[in-house]
Amino acid sequence: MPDCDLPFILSLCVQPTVVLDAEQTLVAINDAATDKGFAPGAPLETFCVINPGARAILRKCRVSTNRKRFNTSLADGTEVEAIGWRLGGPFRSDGLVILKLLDVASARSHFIVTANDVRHQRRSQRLLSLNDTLAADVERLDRLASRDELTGLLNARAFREAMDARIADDAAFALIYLDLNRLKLINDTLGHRAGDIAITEMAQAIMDSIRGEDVAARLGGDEFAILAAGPLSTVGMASLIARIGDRLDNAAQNATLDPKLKYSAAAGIACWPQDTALASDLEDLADRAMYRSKAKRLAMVFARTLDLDQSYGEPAFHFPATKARSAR
Amino acid sequence: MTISPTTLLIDEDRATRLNDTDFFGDVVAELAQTLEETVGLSDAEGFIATVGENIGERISDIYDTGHAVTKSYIAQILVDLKDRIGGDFRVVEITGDKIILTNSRCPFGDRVIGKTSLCMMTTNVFGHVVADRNGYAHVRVAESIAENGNHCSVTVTLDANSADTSQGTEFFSG
Repeated sequence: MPDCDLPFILSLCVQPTVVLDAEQTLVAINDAATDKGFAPGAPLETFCVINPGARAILRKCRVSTNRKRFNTSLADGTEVEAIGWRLGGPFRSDGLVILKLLDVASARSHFIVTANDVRHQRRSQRLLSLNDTLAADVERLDRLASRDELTGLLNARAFREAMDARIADDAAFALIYLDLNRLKLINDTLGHRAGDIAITEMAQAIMDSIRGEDVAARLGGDEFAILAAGPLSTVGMASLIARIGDRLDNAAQNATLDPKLKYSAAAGIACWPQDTALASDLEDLADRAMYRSKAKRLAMVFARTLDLDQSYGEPAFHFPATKARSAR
Repeated sequence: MTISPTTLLIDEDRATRLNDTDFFGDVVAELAQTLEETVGLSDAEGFIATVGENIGERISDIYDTGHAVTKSYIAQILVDLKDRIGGDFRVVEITGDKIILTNSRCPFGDRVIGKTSLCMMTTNVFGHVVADRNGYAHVRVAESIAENGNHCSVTVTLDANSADTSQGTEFFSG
């Protein structure tokens, strides 16, 4: 037996704890075990009911320092859970097994409470995870419902909602309608893929040109819209349109579909509340201005000039004379 | 009424894990996690260790005990048994009375990550196999994939006098 004291080690255990030799005779016990009626020198079975299953586990306790559990009952009928293992380290040569005896009622109720807690926790975690997935799905659907699939710009519905919000906030803005010129011709002569490229280049030119507080949308087909925030000066709006035109020029130059391909757009501008206080009238004004711009091959037309039959500035960008469609 | 499997709507990507090996592996991993969450890591290790001891006994019986017990032979057994169950252990070194092994894959696969109680399977299988032939074994898992490492490192000590018993588990021949 090594110098370190078995009784001292046992005194550190709160639960009734005993030490057994190879014949399962008690060689040492602590005070809590004494209180339960255990006494050293007697076989364990004097104090506990050891069924065949428990006996087999007790044998295994001698084989390693792993803790093993089994249920048993004391001589007075109290059910206990035993935890046993071989004493290692300085005691390894003595072949001793230490056995702790736990009150099974409190151990079981703790287990049940903990198991319920774990189930509840896992259920909550699953619900939180489902919630996160649902929130992500809602966000994705919301994005799909408000965005144009090809360009990523807002769609018409979302754009009108943004415009209504600005009007409700009494925040001045300029509504710019843009029409990509000759989209049908591009589709017919170069194919729909080329047409899609033209649409995405237009969208990119708009995104590269607008400010952070502005909003852009593809209304459908070759029609785009910008909601330019704040009361913009005529020069400011002209600069915006010019930037879009410059970027369209660069896009066409980089395109390899047709070296003679040039992109261009017509623009109509109506300002709220200067040009009209009604949203429906505003759209109509911007539309008419855009068509005037298209008809006269002008860079842009302001709605306020419609009745004056005047236009602003020289054409900033243009489209070459169309070729006759080749016979197939 | 016969239902042909081809008529079932199934996510084929997820269905690759619906086979007997993965199913039972998943069940074991879930049991280990439930144990750890319910009774705590220490007690969960105890339950897994009990299972590991029984498995270790069975595996130990598979290998011949009549062969001369040498460190290299013992190491061969440990590598072989792991190889047969999907782990890829190899010997790093055999020095003095220690055998140091390492691997890059656990037989439980990635499902072992976060479930350190499952390391008691290796501890107990190794411990029993070695103790049955050597009379004694001390097994320590120094690093593990379960603890988010990229490999496991297991040291088996054959001499009780040089074992650091402050960590790991000791095994004795039954």
